[in-house]
Amino acid sequence: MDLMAYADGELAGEDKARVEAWLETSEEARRALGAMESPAVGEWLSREMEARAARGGADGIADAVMLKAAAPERGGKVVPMRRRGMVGGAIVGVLALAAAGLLYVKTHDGGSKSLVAQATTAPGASTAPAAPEAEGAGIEVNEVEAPARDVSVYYLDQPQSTNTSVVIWIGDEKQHGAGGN
Amino acid sequence: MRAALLLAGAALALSAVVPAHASGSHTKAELVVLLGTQADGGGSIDPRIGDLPQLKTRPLSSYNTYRLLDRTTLDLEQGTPTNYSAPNGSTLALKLKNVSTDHRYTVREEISGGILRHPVHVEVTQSPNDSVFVGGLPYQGGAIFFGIKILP
Repeated sequence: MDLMAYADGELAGEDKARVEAWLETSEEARRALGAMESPAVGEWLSREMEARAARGGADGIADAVMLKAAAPERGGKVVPMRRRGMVGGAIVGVLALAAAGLLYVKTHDGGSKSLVAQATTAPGASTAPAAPEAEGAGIEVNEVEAPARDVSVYYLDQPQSTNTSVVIWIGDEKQHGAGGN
Repeated sequence: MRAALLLAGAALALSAVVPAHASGSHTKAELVVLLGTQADGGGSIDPRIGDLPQLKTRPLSSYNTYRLLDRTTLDLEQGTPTNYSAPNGSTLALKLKNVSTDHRYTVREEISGGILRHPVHVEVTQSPNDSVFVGGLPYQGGAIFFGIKILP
């Protein structure tokens, strides 16, 4: 998440220096930063939010914004990932649909950058919109539903293999007051 | 009698061409159940796990010691959950939802029970030999992971 904050110009001082040092030494970090700054990710996010707003009002937008804002506080990390074997390369954007309590991974043509996002799903979440279409080889994470838990999806880089690997990390249960999980 | 022999012969020929575990309506999946822990020193990988470079890659490398808790092959029938009782008391249910013409397998996984108050659902579309690790749930001082691979 530090990288995301850096991309948003929110870091300063020691934190900013630390991220810049990381960027100097890590190609993956630079790729992830490039992906975050890619207009394709923003455009897709805008389209998704507009569609959600049209379907169900502005709650989805608010939830998505709140999710993004809350992520650094949870200590989440943006981890570079690469999808091997994708046709023509792909940007993997991640939209955590907090309103639906689900985490989705969406793919887009036009680049080679990837992102990992985290989401805490709400208790009782159960509705799943249609999964994104597969765009070739590689693993598509269509849906993750883990009520009241942080979820991180990592696409692993395996230079020695043509197959892909994904780690779906189910985090600790979150406490949401007396009524939470 | 001759018709029966012909049918049997046709079935035999078909079975030689189309492996039963890749017919589209069912397949086989290899499941490995791993316990990741953090040990002093360099840690170790249970040799029974075999070659799994993913364990040395983030985020799985956050544990330096992995022990194989179980390894099994599961038969997945399209539309029918296949249940596996995990060592941590939870149940892993795998359901083959779809097989595309280009041999992409959409699998829905549900982990329930154990320490989970609410089931965890995951749906992925993967090719044979792709590996999906689902886990991170606390177990025996570390975390338990389910590695699922569709067999070719």
